[in-house]
Amino acid sequence: MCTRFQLDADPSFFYLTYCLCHSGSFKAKLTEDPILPYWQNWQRLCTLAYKQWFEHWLHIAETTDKPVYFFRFEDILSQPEEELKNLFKFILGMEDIEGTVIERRIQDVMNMGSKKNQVYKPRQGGTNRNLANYSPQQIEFTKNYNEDLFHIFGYIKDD
Amino acid sequence: MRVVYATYPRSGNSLMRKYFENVTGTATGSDQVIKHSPNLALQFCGFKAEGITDSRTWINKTHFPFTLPF
Repeated sequence: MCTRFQLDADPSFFYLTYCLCHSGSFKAKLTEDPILPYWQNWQRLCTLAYKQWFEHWLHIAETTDKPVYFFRFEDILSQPEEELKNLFKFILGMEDIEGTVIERRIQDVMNMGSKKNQVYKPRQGGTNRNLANYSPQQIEFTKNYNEDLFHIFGYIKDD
Repeated sequence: MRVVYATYPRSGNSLMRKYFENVTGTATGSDQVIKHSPNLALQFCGFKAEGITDSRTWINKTHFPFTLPF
């Protein structure tokens, strides 16, 4: 199961829903009329949905015998080879994949340049580049409502 | 053994599916309804098993149990 910080996912999801495409966005800013009321309402509802969605998968991991592996999208971006190796160890049920075909294929993919992971031209965004789309009230509400999840997945540092 | 690749929407699942497909050499499936244009677009972008989750695929994307919040 892959996680992503909600404040980065929400603008992208808003654009996808209202543009019905993966790369489009509006000329107008989310923080300005006429988009602002739609964005604020959408983002508030997504905050509730985000909590429900992650709590479902945490519940599966805690209460069933299904093996669940959690990893972060942000880590895939910053250290893809390491994360892919860890993920395939889990999928294949192996403690070590050194010297295996799958390890060699991961290394081959790492040498493919942009073809290794690009399906379509990504929208402008990225990690921690979306805070300007939010009012202080939105950020406060989101962080308070989903604080537990942000701690679990390491998006907020523990005190 | 089947693998469910669960992500919250817009959490880089296409990027990760591309990695999966390149590493394994197999198509990744998904439970998305293919009639919607964003999902159809993914098929045109190269995810040939979009909308398929049966024995033809090994790793399958899902956003379950997410529903749009309106």
